[in-house]
Formats: sequence, structure tokens, C-alpha cells
Amino acid sequence: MRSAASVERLSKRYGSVRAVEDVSFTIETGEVFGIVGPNGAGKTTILECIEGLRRPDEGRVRVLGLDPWCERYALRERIGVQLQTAALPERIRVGEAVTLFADLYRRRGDPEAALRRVGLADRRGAAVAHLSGGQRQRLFIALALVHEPEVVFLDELTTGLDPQGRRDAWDLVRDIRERGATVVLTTHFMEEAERLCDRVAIFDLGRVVALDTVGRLIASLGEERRVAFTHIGALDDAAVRALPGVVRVERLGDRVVVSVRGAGTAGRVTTALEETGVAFDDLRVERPTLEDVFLARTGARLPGADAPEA
Amino acid sequence: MRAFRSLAWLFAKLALRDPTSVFFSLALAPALVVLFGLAFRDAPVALQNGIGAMDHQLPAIAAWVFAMTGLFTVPITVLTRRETGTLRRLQATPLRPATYLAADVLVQLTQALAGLGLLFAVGVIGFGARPTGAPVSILAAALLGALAFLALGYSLAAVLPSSRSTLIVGNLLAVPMLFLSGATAPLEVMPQGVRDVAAFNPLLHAVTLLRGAWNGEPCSSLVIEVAAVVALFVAAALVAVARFRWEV
Repeated sequence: MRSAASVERLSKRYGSVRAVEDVSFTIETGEVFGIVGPNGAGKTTILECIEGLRRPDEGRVRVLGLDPWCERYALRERIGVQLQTAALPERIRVGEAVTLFADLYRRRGDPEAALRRVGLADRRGAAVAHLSGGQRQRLFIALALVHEPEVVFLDELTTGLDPQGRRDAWDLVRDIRERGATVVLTTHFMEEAERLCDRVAIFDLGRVVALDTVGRLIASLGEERRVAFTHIGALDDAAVRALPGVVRVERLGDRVVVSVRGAGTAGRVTTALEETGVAFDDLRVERPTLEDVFLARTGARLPGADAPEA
Repeated sequence: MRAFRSLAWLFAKLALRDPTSVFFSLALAPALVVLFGLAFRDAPVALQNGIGAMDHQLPAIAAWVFAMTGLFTVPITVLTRRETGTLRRLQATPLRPATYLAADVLVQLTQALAGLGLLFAVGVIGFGARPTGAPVSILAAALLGALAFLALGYSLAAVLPSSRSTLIVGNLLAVPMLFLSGATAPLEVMPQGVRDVAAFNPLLHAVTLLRGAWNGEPCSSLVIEVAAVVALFVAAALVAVARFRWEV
């Protein structure tokens, strides 16, 4: 399969601040590619270099075979962009916005169809300023899709949305993928990346620290499971840590998270805990998530986790 | 071309929806004419070879409205779009800066000329103003003046960092420009030093040009004024295009 975009040894600085440092990756046609990482990791910078909105200091970027900076007008005909911070002219209405954007492209799409696709057909006459956060974000998706682009870029699509708005946005991303377009999205929600992305590049401090399919990234942590519970009464951390298969013990107030490795270890730890006679509550055994991969690869710890690693 | 038409049509609709924009471009100038007309009627102005007060002041008010559009309306509109991220969103489409500017200029120009039409209509119908110049000359002078001050507005928008700074810079420029334009106090009564400074005031030249065209002065006597207004247009347009920015 021909790749939709490639980034080779890209670097970008703002003054003395290194936003992106020597980054390389390839985005395959038809996949949902996630650029994830904490705020300030360089996600938006890298996205804007691929979109042709920023000029890289070093490195080579190709999108659909084009140089995003030198051939930006040719490229912009074929990509759809949703920006992290964007606005529309004051007093514009929903239908006017999507019609205007359809008119800006050589391949004029169907503004009505774009509105239907994001569920805003009945809000055509509404002032954009009066839309809810979720509706507004759906409108910006419609503006990115109206000309039926080959690659769609979504920057922090769901930041600031309520749970329902987030789910609606996720459905739209899956819909874009099903129609055959390539999707490149940035997010700092690991859950979102886990649910939407075929492959994920984890960024930290301007560098790629991990890149693979979500499944393989999680599997890379090994057979790690977490036994989480709230205890009532005294609990000796050292005794828990000494149990076979326990990798580390973390505490968040009364909540204890015991990371274990090895088949059947989770069950044995639970039994051992019961035998200590400590009363505990809300016991859960969790498999690792992308968030754990992120924490493991960046060396970051959960905020509030004050227990040292075993 | 489709992008240009769509953008211009949209900007026109948005301008008409904005009460502030409608007030400043269409209502303010005719209101000033009414006030001035009620105060002075059509008394001849002693200093100005017997030209009626309204025929003397009407073109000056027109030039003043152009200056206000250039110093405030245009830079605030452009900078607000830049600050909110509206321009950035447009930048991510195949839209060329020149197409965007052309559509925006067309709408601003149409608005300025519509305001001018209303202004002249109120002066002529309501207060007996009588242009003696050829309509073509008046229109040409008005078009030139409007374009020059619009260009000034786009150059300010390109150079200034924020819409807040526009208010400060606009006021700093507007007060001396207005005072030294001959539209408020006649320059003839001012000391030579002040008149020397006023010679660099584009608004003075725009006022003189529009007055001359309105009152039928021959083109040959307005060469300096035409040159000054064209110079403002060229210089400002160059800055506006060279320094155009989509983002903050």
C-alpha cells in the first residue's frame, strides 16, 4: 500500500525552544494514525508541518507525494483540516460557513451532504455563535470534509467536549475511515487514541518515544495486570510488594494499585490479600491501557501517586 | 473566481448584519451632515470665494468618513479575524491571500461608496448642496480617496500586532489628521509652521481633492492632491500585500 504521508528527520524550533526534534514516521493510506502525548509534546507543531501551515527547520515531509510547504495550494485541495484553535467570521450561520468552504475548493463538494453527515442539517440557519461546543466541533469537521479530502487532519478534536459530544466525534472519525480517507489525529486522551487509532505515535518532549499498533504497544508491556482496591484498616505495603509476581505498588490515598506480572498472578495476589485479613473494597483487575504504555515510555507517573516504585 | 464571489457575497451579508459596521459606514456621515446642515444652513463661507457652507463641508465629511474607515473599521475587522483564528482556518484551505484581500476590499469599498452616496443625497436633497463639478470627476476623486484610506487600513492591519493597539494608533493618527485637514478649522488661519506640517497630512489632500472635484475646480489645479492621495494608496497597498499575515 502506498503511504499517505512520510516524515523524515523533521525538526522545528521556536527561538531556542525545540518543539520537534529529529522525528520520522510514515502514515499509511486508509489508516487512522494517532499523534499522542501530553500538552507541549510537539503534537500540533508536527501536524502543522505536515499540513503545510508551518515550515520545518530541517527534514523532509511528503503528503500525497507533495511537499506541504512548497506545493501547499495543490496539497490543500486534497486535504481537510480541523485546527485546534480556529474561528469563523462573526455572525456567520452554519449553512453559510459550509457553503463558503465548499466554494473555496476546486472540487466543490455538497454542503448539504456535509451538514447531514455531521448531523447539523436542521441547524443550517443557526448562528455559529449559538452552537453548543459539540455542535461547533461537528461543524468544523463538516468544513474539513466538505470537499471530500483524501487525508483528514484532526487536532485535539474532542478537547473541551462533554462525553456525548466526544462519542459523536468518535463516530464521525470512524465514518471518515470507513469511507476510505486517511485520518491523522492528535490527542492527549489515551483512551481516545486506543479506541480510534490503528497506529499510534507517542510523543514526549518533541520526540517519538513509541510507534506501533495500539495492540502491540499494549502487549509490549508484557503480561502486566493491575489489581486495584481500596483498603479499610492498616495495610503493610512491604508485605504486598513481597508477594511473588508483584512488580510495583502505587497508592492514591486509600486506593492501592498493585501491578503484577505472570499468568495467574492476579488471582494469587487477591487470595493472598484476603488471607492477610485486611478488609478491602471495590476490587478490580485491569489489563493495561495505552495510558500505561505512555507512562512506561515517558517515565511519567500518575499525578498524586506518591508511592515509590518497587 | 467562485471562491472570490462566495467570499465577497458572504462578507457583504456579514457587514450588513453588524450594527456597528452599518452605523459607521452608512449612518454616521449622513447624521453629521444633518447636524452640520441644521447649524449652518446654506450660508456662504466668507473665506471660500462664496461657496455655500454645505458645498464646502460635504466633501470634507466624505473624506473624513474614508479616513475613519481606514484608521478604525478595516484594521479592527482584519485584526479581529486574525486574533480569533478565522484567518488561520481560511489559510488551511486553497484560498490565496490575494483572493481574500480582493473580496474584503471590494465589500469595504462598496460599503464606503454606499455611505458616500447617502451622504451626498442627504446634503443635496435636505440642505441644498449643489455640486458644480462633473459627476465623473467627483466619482473618480471619491474612488481614489476611498481606495487610499482602505489601503491605509489594510497596511495598519498588516503591521499592528493586535486590535487593541489599533485603537491607540488609530486615535493617535486620527486626531492630528482631522485637526490639520481643513475639515474642522480652516488652515488659512493657522501659523505657517502648522501649515507646513499639514502638507504631509494625506487627509488634507483628500479633503482638498474632493472639495475641488465637488466644486468644479479644474484638474490642473489639483495635481498635488491627486499625487498625494495616489502616493498614499501605492505605499499603503505595498505594505499591506508585503506584510499580509494569516496568523498572529
